[in-house]
Formats: sequence, structure tokens, C-alpha cells
Amino acid sequence: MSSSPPVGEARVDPPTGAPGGMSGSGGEGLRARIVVRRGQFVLDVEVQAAQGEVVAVLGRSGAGKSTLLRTLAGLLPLDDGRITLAGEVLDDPHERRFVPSEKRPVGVVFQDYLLFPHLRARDNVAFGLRARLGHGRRQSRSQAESWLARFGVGDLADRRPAALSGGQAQRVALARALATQPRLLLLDEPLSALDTSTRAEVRAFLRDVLPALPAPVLIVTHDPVDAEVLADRTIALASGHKVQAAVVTPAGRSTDALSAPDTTGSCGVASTDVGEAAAAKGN
Amino acid sequence: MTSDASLSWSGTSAQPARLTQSGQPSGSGRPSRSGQRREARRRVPWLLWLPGSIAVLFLLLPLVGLLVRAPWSGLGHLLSEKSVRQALLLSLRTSTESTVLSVVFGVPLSWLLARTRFPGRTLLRALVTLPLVLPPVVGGVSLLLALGRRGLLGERLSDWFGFTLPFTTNGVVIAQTFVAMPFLIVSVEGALNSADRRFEDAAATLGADPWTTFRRVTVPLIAPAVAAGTALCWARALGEFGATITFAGNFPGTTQTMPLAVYLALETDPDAAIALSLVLLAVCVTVLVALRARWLPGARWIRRARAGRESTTTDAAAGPDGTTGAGGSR
Repeated sequence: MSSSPPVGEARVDPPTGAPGGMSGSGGEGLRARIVVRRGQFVLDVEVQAAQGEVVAVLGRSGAGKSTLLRTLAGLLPLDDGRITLAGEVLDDPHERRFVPSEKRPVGVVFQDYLLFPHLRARDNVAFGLRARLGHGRRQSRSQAESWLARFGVGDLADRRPAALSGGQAQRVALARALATQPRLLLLDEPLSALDTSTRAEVRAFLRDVLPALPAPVLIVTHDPVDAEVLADRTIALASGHKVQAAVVTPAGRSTDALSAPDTTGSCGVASTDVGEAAAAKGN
Repeated sequence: MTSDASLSWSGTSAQPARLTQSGQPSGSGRPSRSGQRREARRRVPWLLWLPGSIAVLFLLLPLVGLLVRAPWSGLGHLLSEKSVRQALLLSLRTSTESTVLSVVFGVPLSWLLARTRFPGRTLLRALVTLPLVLPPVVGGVSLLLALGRRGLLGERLSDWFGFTLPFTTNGVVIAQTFVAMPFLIVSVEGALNSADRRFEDAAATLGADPWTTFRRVTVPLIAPAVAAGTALCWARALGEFGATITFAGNFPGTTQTMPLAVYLALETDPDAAIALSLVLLAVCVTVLVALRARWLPGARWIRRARAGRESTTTDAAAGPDGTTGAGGSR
């Protein structure tokens, strides 16, 4: 996060879902009120993401981002609240309903990718195809190869994760998560494990890929620049609570912050301010 | 002497990150020039090297004695005797069966101990690893009381199924399993505890149910530890004496395993005892060498993955040139 490449002019494609459309089609996407209590710490936040929308959850470490992500992924049950995805209730303690991780149509790209070290890239992607979609071994492998090819790493199918660079591993991990045809994609700090030069490249790659996905995308990050570049909308989180919901337009203006028009071209800074202010307000 | 050798060995290996963590404990604040790192030759206190050397002598001398006094010329003749062959084959067979039993029942138990939370888990772990410290003879007596003809469960087995364990070959397998399985459990549970559980999370998010995750992710990740535990378990079963002779007796052909044969031969035919001991020694050395060489194909990627992770943390902490010391010690 030390580097903030000039992103203002680099943005090419505006995301498909305009900010106005998100609340209307909520039944299609994700609607969640997430409450998790752990001793003193309470995470209590509402998250909505429409089909085709990319939402960033921005916060410092300890703000509850990982907890939020784990509840959505089904790795941690809610203490209160409710998670619905595409009209299906995934977690509701009051209804005593909890869909475990392996039965949720949710794909996750983990922070350091967590590619299975004993499997080649192809078999990492095929893993989900076999486990979730129940495809046969051969079919899974050929599909896995086409997924890898789609993300430009088709020639690395035979590599083990240890032989992949950070950027390559990121693509394989994304292919692995998307191959299971999730109805929600979660990315946990997608850029933090990368060195500075790779980060810019992967950021550009994600910016191209994510808006085109047929599922809502939730990115958890501590980096305002990543949130700004990748997401249509940012939820700032501090001490487990939503402190500010900033709708960031493609031009880089935070609509609710009513930032002055002269910040064009320095949107990275503008969104940093949002994040910092949010964090400060939380403390 | 041994530790010194291993230090210089790791010094020449191509893992600087690990070397700085383990190889240079303290005092060596100087950043090493160039890529080649050498241990600083420091004076070793005689209070350490003297007892250490005595320990080495103490451990090696009996082996030397065995090798020196071995009846090398008559060895072929001694080993071709029927009783020897019988004992060896019985030992190999029973210890292999014990190992299979230990893996089939021990690995799931290790998983339960490492991955589930239930009341009394700590107590249970202590109890199932008790045979590690229990004198094997006591184990044999306990087995008799439980599975003997008049034992708790043994009486039922005998009455209902006409099935008796003590003083049979199956009894040998039971006695060896009782003593050897804890070695496997300890080894596998340790590996499960230190394995990165987030891989299992990742598998779950990809739609793998717990059993699939266990089979396709957990077990491959801990495969080296399972292999090491299996080898240990097998070696322990092979050498088992006390529980076997107490529970299964000492009948040539059915329950007289190699260690029992060695003990018996020592009274009647010392040369045969030495020959048998040599065979056991050879078998154990083979297992040890196989372990050290990490013959498993799986061990390589795990080490590589670990090295990769370490180098990333090092890079993050020290920058690309890596002049500062290694990052977090894990």
C-alpha cells in the first residue's frame, strides 16, 4: 500500500451495475446482516451486493473483516442476523438454519491463495469441480484447463503451487474459486501477498475480470487504493461496525462524501481519506 | 560432535532463511558477507562436549561389540536354520499386521484427538498414549486380564465365538499393536496439530465434505508424518518383547518372534543369538536410512512449500535483497 499507481486515468470499463441498481435487485444477490460476538468484540454489519456488483469491505486489521468473510463463506456461524444469497437462506440462527461451507454456492480466494501444495494447478481447479459439481475426473481436468486458459495461465497447468509466482497463483486461485460456479465470490486481501510490481499487474487483471462476473463480488481489504480501483462501492469497517458506506463512482468521487470536483485524478487520496476518517470515527 | 556435523551440513544447504533461524542462535549479530554463510567456529565448553562424547560412545559401543563378536563365518549357516527363518518370518508378518491395524484405527483416532472438541479429550489422549510409557510386561498382563480366556472381554469371545487370542499368533499381533499404535498416534496427531487448517477451510469452500477433505487434503498434507509414524510403529512392533511374551507366550512357529528367539538362543546358543540380533539390527538400520533419506515423493513439495512460505515472509520483512535477518520465526 506504499505505492499508489495512477489509477484515475487508467480505468477502462465502468462496472455493469450502476450504484442505483443495487438495492432493487437484492433478491438476486447477497443480503446479509452479520452479527458475531467474541468476548468484547462485536461484529455487527449489514452487507448487500447485487448481481454484477463489486463491493469492497475496507478496514484495518482487527476491524472484523476476516470474521465477516468467514461467516459468508460458511466457516463461522452467525450469532445473530441472517444471510441470504439469491433468495436462499444460508444462515439464520433464529430459524436454526446453517448451510455449511461445502454446501454454499460461495467461492473464496484466500489471502495467500491456499492452493493445495500437493496438487498441480490443474488438479487444484479440478478439485472443486469434482467436489462441488460432482464431475468425473477426466471432465474436471479438461474443464480446469479451460478455466486456467481463460485466466492466461493455461500453460502452467502442470505446475505445483510452489513453482508459481504470486500473480500466477492468484490467477489459479481465482480460476479454482470460479470453476465451482459460485453465486457469490469472496476475495480476502487479494493483493497483499504480492510484491509491488506484481500488485499493479494483478490489480489491473482483477479490475478487468471482476465486474464481468455473473455473481456479486465482495473484496476484503485494508488498502483504500485496492478498494477504490476494484470496487463499485466500499463499506468501511472499524471495530466491527460499519462506519461509513461510500458509493464510489467510476470517476472516483465519493457521492456521499460530496468531495470537491478538483479531486479528479487523485481519487486514491480521496478514498484514503474516506477510509482514514472512517477508522478514526470508529475509534 | 553430531550437532556440529549437522550444523555445518545445514550451512552448506541452500536455505539461508532456515539457517539464520536455527543455525545462528545468538551473538552472531554480524550480517554475513556474500551468499556463503559459515558457522563461526566458537569454542565449545568441555562440560558439553565431554558428556556428549561419552554418550556417543555409550550408544555406539554395544553396536560395535555386536559387529565385532558376530560369528561372520558361520552366519549363513545359522541364518538358514529353520527356527531362525520361522521366527524372522513370524516377526515380519506380525509386525506388519500390527502396523496395518495401527494405521487403520490409529490415524482416525489421531484426527479425532486433533480436530474435534469433546469433554475428556485431554484425558483420553493421555490414556491412549499410556502404552508409550507403560512397561510392556504390564501391558501384557493387562491384555491377559482383558482378553485372556477368563478376561473381561476374552471370556465372551471364547464362550460365544470360540475365539481365543492369548498364546496365538493373533495374540502376538494384538500385543504388538497395543504397544506400537501410540507411536503412530503421537506422530500423526502432532502433524495434524501443526498442519495449516486453512487448507481444510479452502477445501470446504470448494464443496468438499469433511470426509473428502480428510482424504484428499489432510492426509496428503501430513503424509510424511504418517509415513514416519508408520515406520516407527513398525520398528516398535518388530522389537516388542515384554507384552508379547506375557500375552502370547513363546511357542516356536506361532508366537516366538525374533526378540523372543534372540533371548531364548542366548541361553542355549549365543552365536545364534548374535546372528539374530544382527538381522534385527540390519532391518532397523534399513528403516532408519529410509526415513532419513525421505524416500517419500510427497515430502519434497511440502518442504518446498514451506521454504517458499518462509522466503515470502523473509522478503516481506527484509526487502528483496534480504540483507536483514530472516523475518518471523515459525
